[in-house]
Amino acid sequence: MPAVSDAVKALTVARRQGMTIRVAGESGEGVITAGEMLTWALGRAGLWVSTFRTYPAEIKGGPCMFQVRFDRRPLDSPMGPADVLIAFNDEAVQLHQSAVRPGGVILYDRHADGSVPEGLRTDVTARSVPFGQVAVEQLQNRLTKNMVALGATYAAMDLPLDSAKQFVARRFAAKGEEVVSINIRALELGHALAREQLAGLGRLAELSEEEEQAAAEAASTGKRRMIISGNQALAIGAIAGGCRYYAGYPITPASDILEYMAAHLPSFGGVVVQTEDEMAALGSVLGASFGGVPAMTATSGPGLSLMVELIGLGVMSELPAVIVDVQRAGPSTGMPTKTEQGDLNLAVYGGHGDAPRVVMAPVSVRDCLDVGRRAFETAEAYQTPVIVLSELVLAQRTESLPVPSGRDILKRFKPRTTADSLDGAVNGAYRRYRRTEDGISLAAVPGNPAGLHVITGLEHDEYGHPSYEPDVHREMSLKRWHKLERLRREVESRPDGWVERFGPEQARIGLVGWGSTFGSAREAARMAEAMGIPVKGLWVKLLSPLPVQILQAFVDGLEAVIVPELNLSGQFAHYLQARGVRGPIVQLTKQEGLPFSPDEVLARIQEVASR
Amino acid sequence: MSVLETEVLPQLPQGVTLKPSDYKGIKPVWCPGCGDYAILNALVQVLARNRVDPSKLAIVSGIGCSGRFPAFVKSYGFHGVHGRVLPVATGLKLARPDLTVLAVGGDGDGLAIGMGHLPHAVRRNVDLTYLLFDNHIYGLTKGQPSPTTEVGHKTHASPFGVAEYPLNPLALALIAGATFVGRGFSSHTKHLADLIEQAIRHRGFSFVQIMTPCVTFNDMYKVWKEQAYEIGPDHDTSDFQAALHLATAAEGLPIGIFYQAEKPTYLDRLIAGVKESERLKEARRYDDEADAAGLDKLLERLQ
Ligand SMILES: Cc1ncc(C[n+]2csc(CCOP(=O)(O)OP(=O)(O)O)c2C)c(N)n1
Ligand code: SF4
Repeated sequence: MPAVSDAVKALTVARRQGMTIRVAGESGEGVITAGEMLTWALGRAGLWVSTFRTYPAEIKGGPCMFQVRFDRRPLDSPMGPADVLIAFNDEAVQLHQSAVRPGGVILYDRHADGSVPEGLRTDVTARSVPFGQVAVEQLQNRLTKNMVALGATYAAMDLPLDSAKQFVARRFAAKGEEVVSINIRALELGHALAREQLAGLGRLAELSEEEEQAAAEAASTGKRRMIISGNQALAIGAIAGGCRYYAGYPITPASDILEYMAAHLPSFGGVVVQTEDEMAALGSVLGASFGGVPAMTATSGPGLSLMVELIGLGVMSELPAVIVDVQRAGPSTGMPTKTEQGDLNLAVYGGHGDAPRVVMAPVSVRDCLDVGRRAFETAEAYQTPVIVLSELVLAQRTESLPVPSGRDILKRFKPRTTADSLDGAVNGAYRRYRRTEDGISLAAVPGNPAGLHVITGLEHDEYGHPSYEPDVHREMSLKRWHKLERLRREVESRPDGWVERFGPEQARIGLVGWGSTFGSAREAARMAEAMGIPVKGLWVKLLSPLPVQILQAFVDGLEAVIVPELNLSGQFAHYLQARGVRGPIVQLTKQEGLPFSPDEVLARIQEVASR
Repeated sequence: MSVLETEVLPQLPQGVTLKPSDYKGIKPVWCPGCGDYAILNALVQVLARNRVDPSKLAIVSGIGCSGRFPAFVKSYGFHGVHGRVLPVATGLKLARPDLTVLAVGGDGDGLAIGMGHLPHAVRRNVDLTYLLFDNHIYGLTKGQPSPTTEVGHKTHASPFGVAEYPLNPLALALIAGATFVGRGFSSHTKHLADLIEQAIRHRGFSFVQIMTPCVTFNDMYKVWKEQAYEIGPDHDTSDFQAALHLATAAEGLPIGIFYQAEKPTYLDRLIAGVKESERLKEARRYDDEADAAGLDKLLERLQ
């Protein structure tokens, strides 16, 4: 076992590039709470934080893990080797020690007989602390084990324990004085215990004075940070974008959007309904939208499958609607607690007939806030359903972000027509589906005496009257298609906010992708650059209509275009080709239910570069 | 005025009146003699005599012969997809409580593909009126049996006679907890108009089964005319057991109100439960000042 001082040195170096702590144990042992607390405390300390968690699908039992990565500069991804592993039991040591980098630290629960966990690695600093024993003997409460462990971690890291106490007071306030105080005592005991035993195991105190000051400044009001998950960000973005009706049916990992909306939308004058199924959810969203009220539903893969018929109705009747699909691994019920980018085909093509719809995908937690708002803007402007493809890893990951002001994120579309600006319509003469160059017609909402009309999922003429004339079907199909064409042109001429680029312009290797893979890819590109391999990247947040010209311009002249995606068949790589993007595409797929680590992307970059 | 305090039947401006025929939309495409014509006539009478503002009326339908109904009434209309009429109507009414919302659909639409939605729409007690056009057959798809078709009935899709027993829509609605349950018959048009008016005036979810013969695939005129009778004044519409008895055990085809009760609606309950109910009552009115402050509050909680 290397000397403690070596470990300290190693940790200090690591910390200068940020640090990753992984908490692991059995679900029910308080792993998630411990992880959330660390996240919060580090965020409060003015650091940038990004988290990743895995948990079993069962309600109780089964291994779970919470990883917190933090740094003094913004982070792209929570992935990467851990510097510290806090293991609540031996199984957690065995499952997670491989994630610890050589020279890292493992804190594990002390065995009564002083033995060490089986197979414990020797190239790490392992320390046992009696988490469980303290919880049982000194606090008479097994459940406080996680707080003892956390107190120990705070000591090892020299984090201010006050922030942890604040968190406990807040989190457990509803459970009463007693629960708060026993948890605080557990923190203190763990802290004291570890202070003696682990003193100096790489402390934040070793920050330079300047750094300390910067952190303190960030922690004070000027540059406040919040800890937010992708699901929360999407919900807040949607409210800011004007959502005032929400309907949903519970499904992992989308349920917290329903819960968040249920708690908060009413105070904005909005109504929330938990429906009997996903068809009812989207059906009622279309009903609300017909009434002129911006509306949303959120689901995951199996629910999106059920909604397909109503997506067609939304397209045909030209009603705005926002449908969030927080992707999880499929097909069928698949792996509810594992991530995947497998619903691209369903989102873009799902449905019978030609049903052009808008599909967007955020690339990060921060982006969820913007995409949530933008989805409403786009749905209203183009009078069409907008599908937002989020992913489990974005939905449940928390990140520390600067706090925007409510006013800054508040953004409103133009409301659909309620006044009598309807091309001089007298009763019955109003053309809801009037053909225009860009396919967008003036939409009246109920209450407007000049705009009486019937919308229908049947093919219809300009008035909305059912019609099966060949000309009508052709012209109306084109009308619906033209709307997307207009959006594509608009985005291609003003791509701000619709794409993310990174890397040096002159690089000959490119990365192209969508969604959560952005973080690992950008980090991999940075690592590659440090190794002398310039790589540039383009992530598109608009998947339908696809901004083909932007993509083609990026791809032109590249020697290789790596397309990383979290599915087996390479749905996005195929989609690019189907939409006419020509170039030397190299697929990088992963089908494990887990996100890419930057190393995995880097390996493919190196492989391509050495060809 | 809060959106929740609108009139039950929003009226035309003072002095303006419309004749029943003024409420008619495009020319119906039903088979001559179809019972649905009479339902249309009953509805436009109700609209005219209450001077209903067509711009505040929205009719939502599913798919089937009955699904064409919205186009034949001059008002706002939503002709959706098969079986989803109640979700659409629910979303519309909750988002726009100031509108009068009618949901119409067939027995196939509402009791087969859309059956899953019925009890839940009932449970929510959203203030809307559901007219179930029951012709005991699938009309639009040309005569297959529906969930209310009599056992043994022969159709192309049931050449040996229907093997399933029919559902009883009234009993279903009652047991699910509907606060207004009634039955009408297209041939008793005046009675039907009164029933529809009362259903619309009812605050909460109203369920009305309307017997409407399909002359082309299942002509029940003769049978229903013989069986139909108006429920007498001695039936107590607040007596649930009596209503259930009438719906399940009665001989013939009683028409009228089976059951009516007062219960808070979905919105009533939501408003009662939410602290900031004042904003909810002002529903959907955007106020940048208040909304920005509200967003700040949400962001504050995350720090
Ligand atoms: C998903 C779906 N399945 C099947 C159909 C075909 N379909 C159209 S109308 C109908 C049944 C109509 O019967 P009913 O609801 O009793 O109405 P009626 O025509 O008798 O008024 C069916 C099965 C459809 N449009 N959509
Ligand atoms: S098929 Fe039957 S229900 Fe349909 S219009 Fe003709 S008569 Fe009426």
